[in-house]
Amino acid sequence: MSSFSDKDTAGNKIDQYLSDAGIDDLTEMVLALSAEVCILRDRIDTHERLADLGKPLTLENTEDFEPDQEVMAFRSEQRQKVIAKVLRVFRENITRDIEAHKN
Amino acid sequence: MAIATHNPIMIERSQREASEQAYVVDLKKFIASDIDPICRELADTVREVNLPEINEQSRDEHIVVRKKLEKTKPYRDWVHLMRTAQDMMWDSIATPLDRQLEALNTKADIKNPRGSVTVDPGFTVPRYLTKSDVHRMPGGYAAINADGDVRQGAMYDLGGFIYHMGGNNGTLNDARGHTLMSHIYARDPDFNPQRILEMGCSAGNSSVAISGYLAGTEMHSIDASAGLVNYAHARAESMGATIHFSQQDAAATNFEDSSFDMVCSCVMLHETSKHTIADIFNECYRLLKPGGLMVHLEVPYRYEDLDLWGRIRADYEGQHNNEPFWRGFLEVDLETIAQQAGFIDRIETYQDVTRKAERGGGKMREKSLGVHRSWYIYSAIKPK
Ligand SMILES: C[S@@+](CC[C@H](N)C(=O)[O-])C[C@H]1O[C@@H](n2cnc3c(N)ncnc32)[C@H](O)[C@@H]1O
Repeated sequence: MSSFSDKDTAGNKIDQYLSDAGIDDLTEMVLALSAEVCILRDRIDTHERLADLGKPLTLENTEDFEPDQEVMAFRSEQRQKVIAKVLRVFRENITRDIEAHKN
Repeated sequence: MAIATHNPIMIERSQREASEQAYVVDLKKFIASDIDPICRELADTVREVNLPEINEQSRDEHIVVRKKLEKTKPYRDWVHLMRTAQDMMWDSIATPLDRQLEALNTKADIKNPRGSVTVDPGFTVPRYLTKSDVHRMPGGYAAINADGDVRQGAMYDLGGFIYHMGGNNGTLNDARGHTLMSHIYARDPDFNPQRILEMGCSAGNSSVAISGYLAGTEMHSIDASAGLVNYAHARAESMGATIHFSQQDAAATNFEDSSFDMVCSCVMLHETSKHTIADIFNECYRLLKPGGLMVHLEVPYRYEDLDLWGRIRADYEGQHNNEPFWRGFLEVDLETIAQQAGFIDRIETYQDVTRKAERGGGKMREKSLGVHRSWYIYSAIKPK
């Protein structure tokens, strides 16, 4: 079974809601890539914290590391910054559109 | 036996998988906190500059504005971003789920259960649940791969946690069950039923929470999906709850007349249909003993509470998150339906969210405090 749904209420009317297919594809690719970047950053963060504890950076130690609330909050803040950068253009387009309507 | 405070059969995640899901949560949070407000401003602006035209049309104002927005790139990009974030969520669950599915299905095969699970091979899942994948969950509620398969339930359980961003009582995702009990205890501090029924139980999150208050009560929970009741059964048993699950249609169950002291549901009604909701109230009436209590918990607002962007967002739920009855439910007049079914002592209210219900303790309000702080409740009594 596909991990993406293809049974959609909007069905074949979907084109009228979406942008140019090429742009939509690109958005998906960029979001998938930025997810990977964040996953790697979490991993590096784990390694730095293991190193601080003097533990070897083995697969086992990496998998066993359990981030506490503070670590999770720190990582979430980092991710929010990445996401804000990735979606900056997106936000600007909306703001520009608001201005264009007003003028 | 005490009910466990964690779910031992929740899908396990590697660090990488947990990171991927955390990304989805943060993406959804960012959309809600940083993009949604400017979309609202955009909608208000479009309304303002088109006021003369909007006033001329007989259509709903938000539909006129939405039609205009649909022609613009930022709105279309927003629709796509929302859809993509949701699809990424399910995708981030499918990977660990499929790796563990065999093991999960084995764990779910409970030997000597306290409760039970009954699926009906001849059951026809209502069409409103099969024609699109509700919440964009691949396969929807109804997909089933084999006898005893729990895949859709396991997917829904973890999805619910991510979807609520932990705000519905963490991985247990069960604040609804506690809040429903809080409402019942506020109505009737001496509530002590012999036999109860929960409709639309899904993965059984609220079921286990409810059952935790009612040691000694015979509890039945039904859902239209086999994959969900299979999983709900395994989850409940693993947590020490005794519940009898079965695959049934809430509008026409196989239970006897006047055989329950309480019949309830949590966020099921908005996923049914306009034509079904009265049938469900009539079925509740038939199933309740005289003096019995019906309680339905739902999303914490009504259509009249929504502003322009809120109504456009409601349309999004219908068109793109595959909740076709979303708007219809928010507008439906439950009071009339309940009255026609014969119910008395009807209460329509917002119940404060709690993670621990106390007899006589819960607070009802006329106005909603908002998502994760209130749930809408409709409750009523069958006359003696
Ligand atoms: C949002 S889920 C419920 C969540 C769950 N009650 C909880 O609080 O965690 C809605 C459920 O209602 C079920 N449902 C919808 N219509 C139904 C019907 N006519 N009979 C039985 N179940 C139904 C769906 O299969 C789905 O599992």
